[in-house]
Amino acid sequence: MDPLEIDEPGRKVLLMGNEAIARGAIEAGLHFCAAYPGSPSSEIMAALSRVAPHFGHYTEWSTNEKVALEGACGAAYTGLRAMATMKQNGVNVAADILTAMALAGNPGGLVLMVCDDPGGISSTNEVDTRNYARLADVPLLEPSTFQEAKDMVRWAFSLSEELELLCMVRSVTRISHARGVVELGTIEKIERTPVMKPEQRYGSLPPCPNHAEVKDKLRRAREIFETSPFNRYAGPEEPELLVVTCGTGWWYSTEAIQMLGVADRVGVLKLGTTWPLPERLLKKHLEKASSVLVIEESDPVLEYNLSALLSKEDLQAVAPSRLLGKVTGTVQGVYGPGVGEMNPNVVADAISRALELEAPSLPESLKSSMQGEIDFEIPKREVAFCPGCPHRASYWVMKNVLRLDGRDGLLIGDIGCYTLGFGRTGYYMSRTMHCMGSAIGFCSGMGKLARFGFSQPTIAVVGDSTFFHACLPGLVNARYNSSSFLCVVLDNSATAMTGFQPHPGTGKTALGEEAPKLSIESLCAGMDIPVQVVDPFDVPAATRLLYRALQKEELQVVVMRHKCAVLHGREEGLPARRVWVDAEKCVGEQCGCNRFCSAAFGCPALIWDEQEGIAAIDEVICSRCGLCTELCPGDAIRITEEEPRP
Amino acid sequence: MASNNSTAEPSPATGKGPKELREEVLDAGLCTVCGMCLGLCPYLEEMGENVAFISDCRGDQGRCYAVCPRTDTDLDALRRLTHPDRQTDFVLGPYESVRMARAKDEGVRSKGQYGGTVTALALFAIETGRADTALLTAWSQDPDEPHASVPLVAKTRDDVLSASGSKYTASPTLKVLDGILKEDAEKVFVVGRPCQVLALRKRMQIEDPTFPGERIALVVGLFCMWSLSYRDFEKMIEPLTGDEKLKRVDVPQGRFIVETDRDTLELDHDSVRSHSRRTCRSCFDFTSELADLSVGSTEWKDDWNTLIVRTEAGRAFLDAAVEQGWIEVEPFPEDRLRLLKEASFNKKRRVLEELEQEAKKNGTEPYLKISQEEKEFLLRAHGPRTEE
Repeated sequence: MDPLEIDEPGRKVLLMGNEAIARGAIEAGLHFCAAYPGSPSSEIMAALSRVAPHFGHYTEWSTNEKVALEGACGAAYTGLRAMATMKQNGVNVAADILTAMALAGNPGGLVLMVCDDPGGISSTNEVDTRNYARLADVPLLEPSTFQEAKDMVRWAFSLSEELELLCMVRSVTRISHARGVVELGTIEKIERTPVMKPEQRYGSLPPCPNHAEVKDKLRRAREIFETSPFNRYAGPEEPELLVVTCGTGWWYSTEAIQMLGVADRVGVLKLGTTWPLPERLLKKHLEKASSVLVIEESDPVLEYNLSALLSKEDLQAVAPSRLLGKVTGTVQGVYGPGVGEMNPNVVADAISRALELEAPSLPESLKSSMQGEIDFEIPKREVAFCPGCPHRASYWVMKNVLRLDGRDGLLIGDIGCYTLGFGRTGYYMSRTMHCMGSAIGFCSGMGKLARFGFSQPTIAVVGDSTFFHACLPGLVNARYNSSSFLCVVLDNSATAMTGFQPHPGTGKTALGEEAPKLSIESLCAGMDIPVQVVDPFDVPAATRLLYRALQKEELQVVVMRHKCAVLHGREEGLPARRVWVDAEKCVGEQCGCNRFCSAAFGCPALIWDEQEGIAAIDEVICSRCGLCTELCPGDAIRITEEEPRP
Repeated sequence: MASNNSTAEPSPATGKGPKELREEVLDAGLCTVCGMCLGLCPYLEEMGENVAFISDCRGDQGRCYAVCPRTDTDLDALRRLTHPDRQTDFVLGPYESVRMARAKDEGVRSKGQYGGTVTALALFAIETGRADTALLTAWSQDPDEPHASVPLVAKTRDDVLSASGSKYTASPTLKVLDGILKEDAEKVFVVGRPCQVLALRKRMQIEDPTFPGERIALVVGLFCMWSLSYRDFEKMIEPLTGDEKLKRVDVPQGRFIVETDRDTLELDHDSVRSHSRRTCRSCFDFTSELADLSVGSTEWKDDWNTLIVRTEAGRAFLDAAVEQGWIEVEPFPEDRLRLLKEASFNKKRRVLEELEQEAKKNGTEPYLKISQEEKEFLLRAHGPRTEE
């Protein structure tokens, strides 16, 4: 049985953080959830979709985060309980509706579930979305444990209904992607007939009265937070140092205090409700401590808010003589304060500084036990396209075309698997890498610079999921303003980077059901933009087509279409054939080859046999796509239709 | 011309390779798009008559550098290779005689440029079994590139006829040579521009067991003053002709004429010439000195060509073609020879001066090595010199 479906209150199950979040929504009687995938948030929607047939709630992968939040908002306007999930980048996309809709409120419970990625482990930035809570005037909850992840999300729905205001919950990678024991609660069955009555109107105008009303809602939220069980203190009655923390900061603080053996000197106030801050609760604890250290992931959001709070008259009296954190430089990792992911060592360093202790060191017992476990070099693995990845073929073609074109043409990149084109695996071709759809916008601008003497041709590279997510307005803009560039859509028929979620071009819904399959070609044709389709594995044809497209100085789209190798493997298994190197024919390091397959093309399955001085295939990872057989100048890479050797 | 098969590995022995080729030739705009390096190397590719390294080769020396017509070139060593018994004329290169020549067959003549001599020689080679393959340059059949010139591997009379007529952009014709020698070509009759003839001779000069030089049946070199950048040519021609194919391009005495099925257009010669390739300004060789036979226009009689007989092989080939009625020849008038030499001399002197100046400015050596005697001969004269 799916652990999310277990209806036994009190039973303890092992859940991934994102599953705990999904379970919290289910326990709250969720009706509607919309999302756009992105690590570390994707598994929430995956889990909710998995159990949707069982519980009857609706889930969808939306085309982007703004549409997802708007969809959830629409459901909440009819009185249903709705949630939108996304990663931090997505909140930027959804920010327009987030800041607007908060002014008017919502009758049904509405939760914005955000999973941030401190350190940018799988992101292009480490934006701290907690800043949006203050920006949009919405309450913010931050779970520290898997149990809290579930319980907070559940509570967020009723809080949202009580306040008639969207409630934001912020997780981070180490909560979302780790697993822990969660005690299940009751699953609420909330039967509601969705309706929007004649008197229900939700507009942000006039802004000021609406804004004042939201401020009032936040004051009510503050009152509720004063007694929230998600805020709790542990430590001595009158600590020498008070650590004020939230989210994963609580884990790291607890571990650091234990590591340093200072539990009798340091107290920890863990806050789960971080916007607006519970003033009276803070006052109570601040009174007992003269030094305060704030520990939190990413930006000093809690720290700034606390600091601002201390300027209030009734709190000035209890202001600590030292308020330490990122602003004071007390808390900082290798990149400095406010940059990179938090960890126990950073916190231990900070506590040591605050208590003026010797630099912390690992206990001898821990050191020796660790040495036994990790007393070897972990092999370094490059961030790279998978073996058989169609993007490698596409980048190979684009690189060759730009070099052959000889006008210092630019490849303007975007976000997706093909982001890796920024690195060696994509021949360092990508010259930009920011956010979804921006390649189109950049090129739209660059395509108008001829009057200033700009003469470098540009290729805007976007993915298929990205195309639907954020490229259409940019293309309309380019068409309308007669900008000139080549847009290449790398269509691997999947939102591969985030875990193969379906998108409007795949013909599947979040539940795996059949859906209308939107055609990129038809959409482009509808905009009157010339569009061509080519398979990047047909390297000569793709090279010719792209080269010629680049010679025409007009807006064009070329779709390079080839299914993702991993998805293909999952659907159809590995082809029953073997790719191997004919040692007699391999030219190796001689003039005329010089390790062309491994040094130039660089598929990870193409390796160099140092002993024999010839190329070799790593059959364990080879996807048997066979592209290398066509690139080998000596016809030495061969393919035979047979089962691979064991 | 047999290549040396004494070593197992290709050994360019220049001490230079891809890095220098890129710096000295490609980045300097000196690539002639001859195509010679392209058949040897997967790192070098051509498209739209541009040659580039698609990836960076790790090698520190390579055949790419050794065979390039714009890298270090010891012209006398090459002349000794192709013309071991012949004295070099400092103006026209090594030669035995200059003749007026044309295809005997009027049909061939009408398809070819001027007298159709090259077409007739290629037909003679193919149809009498002196070669099974002729490597020629034809108009592209690709509707997307109607004005491009491309390599044509001719096996039949029709193939040869389809390639007749001069082209004025730089087809990388030699890029297919290695491939066809590996596949099914036993004896290849090669027609090329002066840069291509030079590249082919450099290829035959290096030690490379992968290249069977003895299977090059004959090398016919064309007269060439300059060729156009395809991109620029296309920009000029496309607004005038659209996608229509070009039937004939001619540059008679300071004019530039393009014929399509519908039209005959004349473009301003000087503005066309301003789009000639940078590398053509560094070309010392108007008449394909290292060929077996060199052919060009007469600048005089529209249905004849100028033909220079240079090697023993070339002379024997021509004699047979004349004897068997494929080609007719006439003596070349002395006054016309003076004009031909004047044109060649002027180009040589201008290029030599530029190369010397540029080398001095950059603190380098000119790519072209010629004897002091030859250099002095070309530079000492103040006006055009026509005869010694």
